[in-house]
Amino acid sequence: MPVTLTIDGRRVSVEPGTTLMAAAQWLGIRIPSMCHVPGIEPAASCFVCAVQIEGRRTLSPACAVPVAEGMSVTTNSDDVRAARKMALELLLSDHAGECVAPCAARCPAGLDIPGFVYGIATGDNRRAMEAIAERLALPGSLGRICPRLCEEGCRRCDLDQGLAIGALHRYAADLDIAAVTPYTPPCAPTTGKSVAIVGAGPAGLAAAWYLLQKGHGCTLFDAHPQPGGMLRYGIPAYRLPKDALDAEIDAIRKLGARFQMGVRWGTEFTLGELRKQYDAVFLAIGAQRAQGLRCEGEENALAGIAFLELAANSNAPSLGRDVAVVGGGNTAMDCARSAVRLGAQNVRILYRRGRQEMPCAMDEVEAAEAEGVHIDYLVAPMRLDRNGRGLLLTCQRMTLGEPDASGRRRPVAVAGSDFVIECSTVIAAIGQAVERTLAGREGLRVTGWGIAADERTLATNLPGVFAGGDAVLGADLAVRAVAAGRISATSIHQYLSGESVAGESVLTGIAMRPIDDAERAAIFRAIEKSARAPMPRLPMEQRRATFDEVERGLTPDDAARESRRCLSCGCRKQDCCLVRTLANEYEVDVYRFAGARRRFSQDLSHPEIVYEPGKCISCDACVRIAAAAGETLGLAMIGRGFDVTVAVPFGKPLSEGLRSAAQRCAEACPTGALALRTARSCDACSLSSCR
Amino acid sequence: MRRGAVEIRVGLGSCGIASGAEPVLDVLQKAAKVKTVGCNGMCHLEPLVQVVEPDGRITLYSNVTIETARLIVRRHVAHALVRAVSRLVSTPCVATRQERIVLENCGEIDPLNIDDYLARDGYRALQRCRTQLSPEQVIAAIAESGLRGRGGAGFPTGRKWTLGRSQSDPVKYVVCNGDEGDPGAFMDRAVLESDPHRVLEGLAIAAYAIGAAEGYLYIRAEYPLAVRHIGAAIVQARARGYLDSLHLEVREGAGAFVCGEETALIQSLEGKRGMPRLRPPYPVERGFRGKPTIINNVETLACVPWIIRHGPAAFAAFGTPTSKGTKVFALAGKINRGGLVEVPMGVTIREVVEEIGGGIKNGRQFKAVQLGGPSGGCIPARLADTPIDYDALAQTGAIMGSGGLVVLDDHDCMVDIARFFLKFTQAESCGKCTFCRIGTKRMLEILERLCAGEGRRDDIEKLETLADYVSRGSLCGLGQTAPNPVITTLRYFREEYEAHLHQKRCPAGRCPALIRYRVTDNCIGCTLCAQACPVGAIGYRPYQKHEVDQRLCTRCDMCRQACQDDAIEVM
Repeated sequence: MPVTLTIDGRRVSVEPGTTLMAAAQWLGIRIPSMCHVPGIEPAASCFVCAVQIEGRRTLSPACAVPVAEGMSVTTNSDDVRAARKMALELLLSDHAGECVAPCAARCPAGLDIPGFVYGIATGDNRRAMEAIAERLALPGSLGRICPRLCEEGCRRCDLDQGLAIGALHRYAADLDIAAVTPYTPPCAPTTGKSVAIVGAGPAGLAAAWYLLQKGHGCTLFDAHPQPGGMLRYGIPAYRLPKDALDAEIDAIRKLGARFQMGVRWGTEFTLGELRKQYDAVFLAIGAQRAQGLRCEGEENALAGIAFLELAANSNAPSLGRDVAVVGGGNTAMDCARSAVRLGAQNVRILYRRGRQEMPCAMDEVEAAEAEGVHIDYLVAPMRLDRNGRGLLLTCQRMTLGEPDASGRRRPVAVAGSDFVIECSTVIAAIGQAVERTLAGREGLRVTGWGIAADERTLATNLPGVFAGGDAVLGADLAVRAVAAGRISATSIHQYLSGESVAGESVLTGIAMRPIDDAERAAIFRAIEKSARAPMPRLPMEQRRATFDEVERGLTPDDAARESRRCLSCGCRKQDCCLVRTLANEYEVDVYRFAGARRRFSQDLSHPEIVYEPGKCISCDACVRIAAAAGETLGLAMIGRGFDVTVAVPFGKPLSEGLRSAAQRCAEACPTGALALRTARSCDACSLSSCR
Repeated sequence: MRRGAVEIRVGLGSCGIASGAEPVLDVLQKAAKVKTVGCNGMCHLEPLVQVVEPDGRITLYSNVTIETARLIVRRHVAHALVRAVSRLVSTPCVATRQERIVLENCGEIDPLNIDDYLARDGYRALQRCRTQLSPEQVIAAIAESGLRGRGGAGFPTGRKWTLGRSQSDPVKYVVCNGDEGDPGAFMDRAVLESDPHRVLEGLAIAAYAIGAAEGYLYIRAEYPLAVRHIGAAIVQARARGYLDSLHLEVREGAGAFVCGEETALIQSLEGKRGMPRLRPPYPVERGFRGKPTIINNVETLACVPWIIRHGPAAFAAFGTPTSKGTKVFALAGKINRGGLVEVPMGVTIREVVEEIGGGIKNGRQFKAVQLGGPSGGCIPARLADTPIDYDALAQTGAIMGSGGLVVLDDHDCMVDIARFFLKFTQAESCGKCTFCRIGTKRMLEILERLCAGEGRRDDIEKLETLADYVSRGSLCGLGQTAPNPVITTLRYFREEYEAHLHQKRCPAGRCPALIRYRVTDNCIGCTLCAQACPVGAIGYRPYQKHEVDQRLCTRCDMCRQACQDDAIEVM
């Protein structure tokens, strides 16, 4: 006799003994669960499957409660959702692990760093490229020039030296380009839609790379004769050789990108025209307007990016003997180091703050100094005069005052400290701004930095028009521009498919903060110290004389060795973890119930699986599976209260507890507590959320 | 002058032994024939010696030491000189409001001697059942008596047995739940130690009623004396043939509070880790080894022989419309006469505290009672006229519980009380349900913060939200009731929580982080406080007003307790 009940106001008849969860499934109502293992007696422990049965004071676990005649069940009320959310928040408050490796968490493009490094380590460069290409366009170029925020987050920094992540993805990309059949991403069939991309710099190129994979046609418009933007015209060849850049642009061209070079927005075309001719527009115009010295006689100085562009075209003006570069960013370093290569004998950088406050990467400063560039700190220009012999740059000494909005200490002039520098050329590398007047004229909203675009979707105020990269942020890192290109591609794809434009789905995750000494010891337990692979560099005499690439790239042996230094931080189940997936679905506040938590630890005693008890949610699934599999020892919950853990009884090692059921337990574990040793992400996992 | 033989009884329950009754027994045994008995409930007077005259008059000697035991021997036993040791004679506090059903034999018979029990009509109820009543009639009598489960939840025993009887499975079990775990509760221990045969008889009647051939007594291992006495009782009863074909076994618990929950108890009986599971199926359908199982609490079973002997009407004559018979309470806390009391249902909390318990210690103010242990709640003094009745107590947010009754005075901080009980339940959670395992931990952390004066702005709201979902999002009684101490103290004493949070003040002057000790002008410079202070925070300066060095003071309260002149105040 079937039992009839009501779930969310809908009637359903099922066999007696059916659980509420199964009955709901009949109606197409999904009730989440973590501890439920099909075919094994329910534990009813995680309470994420909580539902409200009318007339009961308590919530009921739908995975275990059988149906009853006339029962009325609510699965989606605010109260039920709040209970599930709280259960997840409580679980996360005691979750000692990190969803994403700290390096990947710091990468503005969200590159799966342990993933691609694993490819290199296993000699599978294709796998490495697949992992890279999913998140990062132009990996060879970025591997050369990226300031590598990721490496500062590397766990190994606490042990010996951070992993050479940039050098590794450059290595993978270079190896791939040199391969007989370089990696080409799979592309969806052509959709017939076309997108206009204004600006063929890193943001525009990245957008094209991802849009083409989704089947949309792309045309890139750029005022310069060749694509690449700042990568080509703003970064000297000794850092990024043109052929390396060209090879990567060619890969994009091969996917079907069309380039219209030498056309300038506002001169050769307008946004209005593009919007008529194309289904969507992506504005990636960069920050091209150089800022002056902001002092009297500033017109006598050469603009930094203009100088670099001339140098890139082998058309540099003669600089004379003494060159002063004003500024402390990467552009200033590039100008100074280019000036050295162009024969200037005396190159000095003037920066108004101290070494600590410099916005450029420190290895750039060191490289510049090694090449003979002198850096004057706490010096600001006051006026620039031209006399018969050359230029006279009047400067004054500065001192550091209170921190300003950027958190850096504000330079304050020291009265009466003026002095004069004689020089043949002054290069102003103060910064670049976005050309906003044109955007404003075309009806786009602008901000103090650039074009106004939604943070998540990069949509502008005009329908079908998106903007990203420096054009939105102001002068910033190339890796952020590449990330913006990828995000815009997702949004534009959603827009062209008629979906609601939501941008990329970003999974929130948790990080262990702070990590204590015991945890650090657990992480480094079996790790031997080893030095970071050295980057081979051009000999100094050649460095100073030519624009040949200084950093030559890792040797295959070094790259292999370096890749094996990766600790593979981050969770083995970062993409299929049910706790994480549901936490995102229920929009949890990870830190709402922050309090005492377990310590991170790792049990590597089993040949097939890795156990990280700090991540265990005590759902009991593995305990039940091991018992059902007839394991002699199996697993058990040990202890009482908050400190309950799952372990093999009698303190025996995991390899004794799980002889035959290890793989099943690892696969059923809803989170990263038990995982196969081989699992990098979800490819070895049977959870439905992976599919 | 040689007198007729007197009977000397020495209380040798756990309370008696703990108070030093064993050396007293040695002294008395050398001089006279002594009967060792269990606990009669007056634990605050242990070691207790009763001298029963041939005519039945009883003289009660309390707090007996080796010296006074010798006095009793020399003067009373030998010469009937009662008055010579009269300062030891206690006024029997078995006051008028007590009714002894469960405890009728406790402290009066030798628990290790079945003949003592038989002399008190022992096993007559069982024999009557077997010879005169059908199982259905037994169940009908229990149902008619209105007996409800004394373990706390109050499920009607007659209905439980009816369900057990109706199961078609030929193999059934009866289980006596002796896993009494509430802090401060010791009713079941006293009965098991002092009158073990009574529990066996109740269990045997239950087995007869539902048709079980096997029974288990699950007793916590922390009650070694109870385990020993029950074991001995089983041997005696079997030898005398009272158990018939019923097989009884004692199983010791392994120290987990949650095993008092019936589904966890069954797991534990089966040799597994005690973890509750979802009900239904209830144990009465699928219990021990998957068979129908009836689980009754010690006190419930102890009522059964009395009901059969005196008839259900006599039992139902006590109490209220929904709660019949009597209830044993373990009185503790700030009360003059702590110990075990048995009162008819329907008397008020005030009567228990003021009449039976003799009022609040040291003349302080009655603030609240904590009823039902960690699963129960606090009932404020203004609701003290609430009768002892399952439903009336549940209305207040507390529960009848198994019988722990802690009396609180105006020196008790309600936040601290909630913290104490929650700490217990948190540590005893089996860890299965997310809300119970982590939710109670977060609640405890909030209470600890409040007590330390480190509360955060939204802590009280967070505590309430957590309490709500922990109680509704846990499988078993432990988790569902764990927030009760918090919920009730928040309901009746919210202003104390707010004082801790907003003013960083403990109104009861209890939370160490929020108080300071100060010597008032009452000080006579007697140095008692200085001697009592374990950290030397009070200088030894005779005849001068003492001072507390706040940098050293650990707020342990020893000085205030030591002071004879009420010269130490808490700020």
